[in-house]
Amino acid sequence: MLEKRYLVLEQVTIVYPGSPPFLAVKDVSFTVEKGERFVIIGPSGCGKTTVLKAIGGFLRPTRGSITLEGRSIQEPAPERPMVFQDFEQHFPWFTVLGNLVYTLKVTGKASGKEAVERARHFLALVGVEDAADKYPHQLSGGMKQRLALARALVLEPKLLLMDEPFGALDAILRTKLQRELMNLWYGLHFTLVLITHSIQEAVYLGHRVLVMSANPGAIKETIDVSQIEDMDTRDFAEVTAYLRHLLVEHREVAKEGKHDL
Amino acid sequence: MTSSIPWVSRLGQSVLVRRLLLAVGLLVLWHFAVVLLRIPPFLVPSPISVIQVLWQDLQNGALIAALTNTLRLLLMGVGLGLLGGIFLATLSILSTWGRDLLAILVSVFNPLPGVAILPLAMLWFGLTPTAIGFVVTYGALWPMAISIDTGFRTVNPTLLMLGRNLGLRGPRLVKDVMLPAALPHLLSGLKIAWAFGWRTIVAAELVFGVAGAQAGIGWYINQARYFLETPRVFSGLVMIALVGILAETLFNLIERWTIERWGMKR
Repeated sequence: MLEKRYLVLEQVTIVYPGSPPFLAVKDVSFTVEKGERFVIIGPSGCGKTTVLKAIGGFLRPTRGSITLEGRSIQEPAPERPMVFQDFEQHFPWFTVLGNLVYTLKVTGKASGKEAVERARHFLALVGVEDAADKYPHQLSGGMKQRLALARALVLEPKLLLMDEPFGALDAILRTKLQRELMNLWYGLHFTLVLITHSIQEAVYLGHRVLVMSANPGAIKETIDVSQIEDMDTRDFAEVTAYLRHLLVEHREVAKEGKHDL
Repeated sequence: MTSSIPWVSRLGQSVLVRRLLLAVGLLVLWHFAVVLLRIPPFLVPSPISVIQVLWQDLQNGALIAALTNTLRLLLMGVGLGLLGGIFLATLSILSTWGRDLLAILVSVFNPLPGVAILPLAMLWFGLTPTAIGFVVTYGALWPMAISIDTGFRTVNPTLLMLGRNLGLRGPRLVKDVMLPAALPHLLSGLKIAWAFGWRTIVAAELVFGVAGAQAGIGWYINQARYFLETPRVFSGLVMIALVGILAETLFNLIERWTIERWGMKR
């Protein structure tokens, strides 16, 4: 049953030091199966990015544990690549191809001709092969996010982490890239933990959607949406309506809580 | 089709032509001012005699030898300053002790001009190129360390996370991510260090002089002054200005090949 308990978070609490210390995430526990598409959604400041950074190993939980395949996550590693929202997430001094080749070389995944071939293969997979010899600053936002996806996938990740990857794109491009991400998943079956604040994106991309609430960041509910993929169905509309209700209702409660202070 | 625009305006449309014309105009003005105002040639020689001496000393190699000596020392000094700056900035970004060390060193030594420590350098190394090289290194080190440190501290945090994600830590993260990302700052530091070093070295050679096989452009000028060969003094000054222009062009080229091509120019 190891497959079912692939990524495990147990009672994860994260406090940012300072005066006063800031409780960002409180007692978050969940498990992600191997090959699952797991989406975390919540209002701004609910600690979803903090949770993702902790899974990435960029910061350690103050309390609780995070394990992948039973091994504790201590620091960032190429087996858990992160795709950021920031467009400027490529090395500007390498070409598009050079970025992927460097990624392969520095992680010891491949070298020489093999690295170049594999890099080209993944560029083609995400549809930026024509821009191979350009520099990142010459790419559009959508192309940059595609390249980021290629850079993560070329590492054959155990866990793909995405932090609002399409958040800065326009609606049409966003829908297009969501579809492409799904197609890639059907081909490669990677395990995905994705953060978004788009309800539509969460329901479309996720097998399960974890809803978080703010002040402090905590789990509100986990919803199974694995049967719903077609956006034009009644089920899709119902689930998004329910999620909207959950998120908005929670925000109001949080506001009232503030007034009490 | 012949253009109806007069040829003067057409010529004026090229930057190069415009500047060349202005330069020639100024030289002509200089020449006639000297002749008409009857200025003694040992005070201000005419441009023609300056160009003659310049040409002569370029051909017999005296000017080139002097220039080579000065530039070799300058390159070594700035190079050592660059390496030292990278080293100090790396310490500074990797540990709080290093950060405090750099802060203390910079606050003490940066306001202290290179020429001011030349007497000390001469006590230590005598009247040698080493003394002047030491002063140039010293002068280059602090602006380099400050610029590179600023560059390191302003690297896009996403790029740093990306580097850590790929398993890079410590010095390797500095070398592979922070150093190239800090290149715009590094280059502007290098420009400051170069300008600073160039002024320092000429001044040091002029005032203290290093004779013999190692004699530089400052010594060349000073010798000419000693023998009242004013055109030679001018030709030394012209060379200094030319090297300055050349260096500026070289820096611009480096920027175009690197940070401009990579879209990193601020």
